[in-house]
Formats: sequence, C-alpha cells, structure tokens
Amino acid sequence: MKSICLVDKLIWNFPGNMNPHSFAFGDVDNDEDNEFVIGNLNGELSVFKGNPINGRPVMTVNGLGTITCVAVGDIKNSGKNSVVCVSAEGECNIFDILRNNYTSTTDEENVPTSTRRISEAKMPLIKPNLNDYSRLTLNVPVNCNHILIADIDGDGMNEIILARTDRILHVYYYEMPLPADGSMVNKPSSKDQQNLLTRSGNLITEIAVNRSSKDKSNVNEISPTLKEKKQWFFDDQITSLSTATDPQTSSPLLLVGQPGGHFMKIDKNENLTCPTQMSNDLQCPDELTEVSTEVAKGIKWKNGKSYDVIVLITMDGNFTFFDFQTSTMSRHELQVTHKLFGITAINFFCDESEILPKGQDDDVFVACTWNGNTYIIDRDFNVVKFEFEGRVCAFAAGQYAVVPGCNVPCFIYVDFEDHITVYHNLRVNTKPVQNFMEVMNDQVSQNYNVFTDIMKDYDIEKQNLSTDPCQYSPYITGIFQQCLYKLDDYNTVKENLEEKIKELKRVKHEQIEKAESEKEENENESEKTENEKTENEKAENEKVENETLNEELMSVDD
Amino acid sequence: MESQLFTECHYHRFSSGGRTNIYGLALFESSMESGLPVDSEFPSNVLKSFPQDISHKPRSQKKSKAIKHLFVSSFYGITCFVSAMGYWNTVELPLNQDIGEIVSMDVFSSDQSTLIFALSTTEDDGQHNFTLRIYSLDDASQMYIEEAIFRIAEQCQVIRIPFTPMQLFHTGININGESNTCLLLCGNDGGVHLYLRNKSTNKWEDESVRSYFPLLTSLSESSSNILSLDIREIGDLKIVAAGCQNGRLYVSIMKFDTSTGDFAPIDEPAFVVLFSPITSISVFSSSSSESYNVDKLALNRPVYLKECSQYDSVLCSNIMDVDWDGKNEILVGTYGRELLVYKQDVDDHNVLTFKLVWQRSFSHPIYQITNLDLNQDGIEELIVATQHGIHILQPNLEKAKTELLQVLKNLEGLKKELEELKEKSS
Repeated sequence: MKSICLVDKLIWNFPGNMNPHSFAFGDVDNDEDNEFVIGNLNGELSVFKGNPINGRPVMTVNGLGTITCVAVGDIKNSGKNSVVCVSAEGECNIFDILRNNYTSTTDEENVPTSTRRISEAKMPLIKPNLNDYSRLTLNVPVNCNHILIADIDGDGMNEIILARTDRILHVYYYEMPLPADGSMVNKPSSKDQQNLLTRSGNLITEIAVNRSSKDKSNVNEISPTLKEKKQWFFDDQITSLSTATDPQTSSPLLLVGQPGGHFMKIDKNENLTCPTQMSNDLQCPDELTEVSTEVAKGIKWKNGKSYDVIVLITMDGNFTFFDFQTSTMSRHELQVTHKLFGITAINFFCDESEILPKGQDDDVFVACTWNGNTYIIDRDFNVVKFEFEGRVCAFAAGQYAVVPGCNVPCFIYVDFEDHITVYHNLRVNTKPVQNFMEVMNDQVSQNYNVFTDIMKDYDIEKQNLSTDPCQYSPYITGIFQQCLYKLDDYNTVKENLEEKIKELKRVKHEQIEKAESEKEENENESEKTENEKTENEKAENEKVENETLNEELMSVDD
Repeated sequence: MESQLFTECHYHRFSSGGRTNIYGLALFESSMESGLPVDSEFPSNVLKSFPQDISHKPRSQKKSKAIKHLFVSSFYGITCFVSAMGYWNTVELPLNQDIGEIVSMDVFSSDQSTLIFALSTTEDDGQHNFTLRIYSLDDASQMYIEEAIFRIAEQCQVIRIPFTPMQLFHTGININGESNTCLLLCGNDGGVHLYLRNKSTNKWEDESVRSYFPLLTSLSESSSNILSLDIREIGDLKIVAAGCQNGRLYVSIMKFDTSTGDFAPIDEPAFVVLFSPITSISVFSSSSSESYNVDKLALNRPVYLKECSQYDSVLCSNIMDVDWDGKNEILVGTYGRELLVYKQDVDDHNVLTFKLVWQRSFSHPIYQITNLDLNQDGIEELIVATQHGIHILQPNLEKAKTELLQVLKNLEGLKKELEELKEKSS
C-alpha cells in the first residue's frame, strides 16, 4: 500500500459537534462554483465559499434545531439549487440564496505565508457577505438522519428522500401552489436573524409557513408543501442512501445501505430487491449482520461509455465492488484499527487545463477512519493511504471551488477542535509504485543492438526480464544509469566512435587514392602487400577499440 | 506550468511520533544485498524483528556491486530503507529505549567492519549527558543487509562526551601510508573530535584532529561552533568545508601528494563571513561526471538564490542532476516546508547563474535532502526527510524514457555509421 502526504490545505472555523452526514457539496448560489454546507447539533448551518478570509463561513444561520442532514439540490425543480437542512425535531428549512455579492480580495497581507507560492495564481479571499437569502420552513418526520435529493422515478422531477432512524424511508416531492397576492410575508423575525442583521446590515426575507395543520388559514393554502409519495419500512437500520442507473433500462435506481454489507435496490416502479443477498456466496452472515454499511456509486469508463460501479463498505473494513451488469461482487479487506466511514466516489481529474479532453477517468473511492487514516481505492483495489493528523468527526470528499471558476476534488476533515481542514490540489496516483524497468520494458528489444554490444549475457538477462519484470538485470539498469547520469562516459563512448568513423573515413580515402595511384602505376607488387597489412592492422585496431568500449560501458557495474 | 519534476511515490511516517533532524540521515554504500523478496504490502511493509525466512532465498551468483541504502534516525530508533531490485524494504531497528534521543547519526563501513552505526545521543534525565555510541559488525560481507541491521544492535561501544554533539561525519584518512576511516563529531565546544578504531584493542579512541585536518584544528582554537561540515574528494583534491554558527564559512583545499601518499593543504584556508549560522554545506560541481576544475575564487563571487529567503531558514541542500543533461542542479530545503530546485546557467558575461525551475511544498519542515537509486532501476529517487517522515519521490519516468531513448538512438546511429564504413572499407 502506498502512502502519501497531502500539503495544500485551508483551515476553516466551525464550532460544535455534528452528525457525520450533515454536510453537502453543491452550488448553493447558482454561480456554477461549488460551496460546502455544514450543520452542527446546536442548530448552526454554515456555508463556506472559495478561500474564506480568516476561515469564516460566508453565511451562517442559527437556531435550526439539532441538524442531522444537509443537502444541496434543485428540490423546487426550478433550475436553481436550494439548501435543505433537516433537524432531528422534524423541521426542514429550505434556503434559497438570492444574490451573491461577496467581495473578494487578493490582498497580499491577508494571504497566510503557507499558501503563498511563487508559481501559483493567488487565491482570492472571500469576505463573509452572503446574507441575502430566503428561508422556508416545512414539516418533516422527526429523527431523519439521511437525505438525498434525486429523481428516483424517472419523471424528470427531483424528489426528497429522507431516511429515519426508525427504519422508515420517506419519499417527498415539493409542491408549490399557484401564487396569490399577499402570500409573501416580509418579516425580520427571530432572534438569530436579528443577530445576522446587526452583523451584516442586509435585509433578510423570510417566508414563514404555519406548521400546524389545525391552523388553516389562507397563508397555508398558497404556501408550498412537501407531499409524501411513498414510504418503505425496512428490517434494518438505513445506513446510507445513493442512486444509480439501471444498466438495462437506463432508468434511475435508489440504493439503500443495510447492515451486514447489504443494500436494497428500489427501481422507478418501486420494486424493492436486495441484489447482495441474491449472490452472497462470499458472505459470512453471522459475522456481518450488525455491521454498519455504507453504499456509494462511482463511474467507470469502458469504450467511451460510462457505467456505474457500486461500492459497499462496512465499518470494520470490508470493501465490496458490486457490478449491476453481471450482478457479481468482488470483496476486499482493508486492515483497519478504527471504524471506517464516509465512503465517497471522487474523480481526481481536474479540468484546470482546457487542452486536455474532458476526462474519461474512472472514479476512485475514498473512505476515512475516526483516527484520520484515509484510504483512496481504485477499481483494481490499489490502495493509497493518507494520515490526517487528528481525530475526525466527519469526513467529506467532493468537488469544491477553492479558486473561482474551477471545481476541484477536495478532502474535508471536521475535527473535534472546532476546525475544518480542506485539502485541495490532490494529485493522487493510485497505481502501485512503478520502476523504470517497467517503463522501459517495451523498448528493450528494440535497442537490442546497443545492449548486446554492451553486455555479453544480454540474452539471459532478457529471458529473466520476460519471466519476471521484478527480477530484471542489474546490467540493463546499469546501462540506463550510465546513459542518464554519466553523460561524460557516454560522451567518451560517442567521441571514440566518432573518432573511429573519422579514422575509417581517412583510411578509406587513402585506399581510394592508393587504388587510383595503383591503377596509374599498373599494380606495384610491394604496395599491394602493404595495403593488405594496413587492413589487418585496422581490423586489429577495431577489435581493441570495441573491447575498450565494452569495458567503459561496463565500468559502472564495478 | 512547469511539469512536475518529481512526484511522491511513498511517504513513510516514523512510528510512535518519532522525529528526525538535520543530522539524522545517512547514505550507506555496500556490497551487501537485500535478502527479502518484494512484500505484498510494498511499499508500506515495515520489518520490525529479525526476519526468520531470510536464509531461504538463494544467494545471487552475480558479481556484487556497491549498492546504496538509506538510513534515517528519529528520536528513538533508526529506519533503514534497504535498496533491492525493483523495490525496497523498510526496516525499523529497535534500539534500546534507555539510550535516549538520537542527536546525529552516520552509517558507513571501514576496512575492518562491514557495517558501522555511529550515534550521538542525549539522555532524557535532564542532566544533559551526551554519549557517542558506535555499533559495529565485522566480517558481515556474506550477510544479507537486513540480517546485518538486526545483528549490529548486539554490540555497542559507548563513549561519554563532555560536549553537546552535532554533526557526525566519516571520512577516509591516511595513517602512515595506510588508508583508514575516521569518525568526526562536531561539538558545541567549538571542536571537531576525531575518533579512530584502534587496531589492536578494536576500540574507537579519541585522536587529535590536527595531523589530518589542520583547518578543523584551527577552527577549534577559534571556538567557532561548526554547524555543518562537508569533506569531498574530487580527483586528487580533497575539499574540506566547514560552516559555523557565527556565519563564517571555511574552505580548505588539499592536494594528493604522491611522495607522502597523503593529502596536504595547498594553501591557506579561505573564509568568508556570512550573516547567519550556516546550516548546510554542499560541494557543488557543475558537471555530474568526475571531471573537475576547482574554482578557488568562488568564495569571492557569491550567487544568491534569492527565492529561498521567502520560506524561512534554509536547513539543507543537495546537488544532483534532476533532468539528465549532465549538469548538476541545486536543491534547497527550508524550514518553511518548501523544496526549491535551481538550474545552472551562464549569463551574457559567462558568469554562472542559477534559475529557480521547480518547487514543491511539504507539510512539515524539510531537514534533509538526498538522492539514491533506491529501487535499483537506474533512476535516482529523491529523498526528502521532513519532521515526521521520509518522502520518496520519483522523477518523471516517461521523461526519463524519452531522454534515454535519445541517448540510445545516438549511440545506435554512431554504431551503424561505423559499421557501414567498416563494410565499405573492407
């Protein structure tokens, strides 16, 4: 397993304890740059954007109850994203960011030294100034701990899927009645928002909705509601939610993580199956039934087409790839000492350079343990480890715009010391450590002539090489080393050769001259023998020179 | 954007919170080979106890050549990176906990010993007791290096030292026409202490440095603390460079005298006063090959690598050819966690200049930089030691391939030309 060290990071401030799922990446202000939204158990919801000045969020709302899940998505099916924040008390707050008017600065003095680099473009700093939003409060069931915004029935409209700790899964859709006059109530109300007001001086609009159904008024008639579409009862705790595309019908699927390394698949016609149980010949059910399991979907590319790859991880380190096309699983094990969580698919391809074609790179999967060990896993189960220094309260991997105009992959760690650490500029190569012999393998036979000259037992070495690339020749690598690092030796060899060529040319020239004079002199007997002698000498010389050449080239091995 | 000169292929973090420092890295060149096959967990496999299966591997029949291995000390132990064919093995040498913290380390071999570890340590008792510990293993040339590493901890000579130890350094010297290896230890008493192994008692003993390195003696007398020392032999010259706490840099050039069979100073040592303590010295030669022409006037014409100053103190430097053009580059590592690579050039007046060509940040201060071919594939890896671990960086292998193919093509072309001429002429 390779291990790496991540360097470029931002540190943000965010207080309090949190549910490990109450965060989301998404474009909350509809400027195409992704922000990061996070909520804690004390009812504070914060939005981070870009490289915020002093690590402060651009927007914070207080008093939202015990926040358990947060999502960003187009729940209103209006083409614009909203922030959805659900509390354990059953309150669902929907925020629409109306305007983005943050000021950014590239002030030298504000850039901490650690992020200042000569070669890099300066990262503009974002000042907190994003307080212009509308808020809509709706009722949902209590004790929801997972949320997903997605179109799961294929009608082109997004649904809100909420999973509760009592094993019930609810599917809602947002309904906005035709607007009527006087429906919008401008009221700068609650205490928390007054706090915000005094801090920023911006006007806050709030759409209030009466929660009690008893309180039927005209406000209620025209206010938006969440309509329940479907409910499922599961036998086991719902440990995570994801979506995928059915490879046969191309219609959406909802995936529900279940303990013991399982997941349930719900298709658009609401049929519920458990694919992992159908083909669980690899399972040890007794051992695994109670182990919390997370499910995630990633993308792999094959012949220019993308396919979904489903990954299941159990918190004790079992890692399973599930292939929908073949309904087969491959299981691997990670040796972990702490609970594993937060599995996410991420693509390290970053479209910073426009020259490269939009990548058809396979997604890799990332998961983290409570003690900070982060595992980056590719489709071939090559694993790269990164050790975050600190205990992790929540781990998030996703696309975030550190610099405006470019969403890049980031790892976000929320610790127990009121900080969020964001690693960006992730250049992670999951491939195993390569050696130069592997890179040169295809070239060795093409350079046969050069190598055989240098090395007597070349053929044996080549044989070894073809059977096991690790058992390659010290002589071949010796030649590599010499050609790359001992250029003077190479130059000596080159000069020797050039001199020989020169010499041969001279001899040749002399021969021609001689031949001509011979013709003229009509074959002198004595000169002919002399000529033969020269040729013999020359051959002798060449032999010696070739030997010295070999010696020189071999000298590095000594 | 400049393409990446190096990419990190592995990071080894010291176990149990160990840290290294600017004197904690050594390259060891030996004919001893690795005796263990590639591990399935490579490169994160760590060997912590004597490998029982080591003797099962058949010994290679090949002519043994000198292989470089990497040793790094952290507070309480030594991590060894054993070079092997296509991979490397990481060995953590468990040292007795009561030796205290390791201040500096050197690893080398001598005529008598196949493997020598020299450590200067400070004890944890707050009394500032310092010791020099020398572990040596004789007649181990037939051993696999992993075995030798575990064997060596069995025997140790302890020398109490009355000063705070700093850099440990080994170098070849000549005693009555016989070549020998001595150990040099810089101390805060201003002196450089020389230790030699007594051939009859087999014990290392304190010897006078005067007869071997007059420069270092005179420095001791002027009580300048030597923070960094480099001694290098280039051809028939020996360059001794010492950088002091008070910012003085001394350079003495010694020449091999065939009549005495030893090096002797050719003139008075040169010195220059810089403004801050000298933390790192590397003897730079512009070409990566052995040809040489020592420029004695270099001290009068300093070239400032100005970008370094933006990243806190410079702690280490290294000279290597990063782009296979036969010219050496200068690598600089700073406390401000930045690695900078400078490429040499000459300006219009034919004066040597340096241009920053690449830089990379690390997560912790950089204490040491070196290079070696750790996986024996013909390509030199860059080793960067930061506070908590070792980063192993590989150069761009595709670039190396292009470069190498060009060289091979040239060679091939010349050969062909030669053969054609041969044919024509015969």
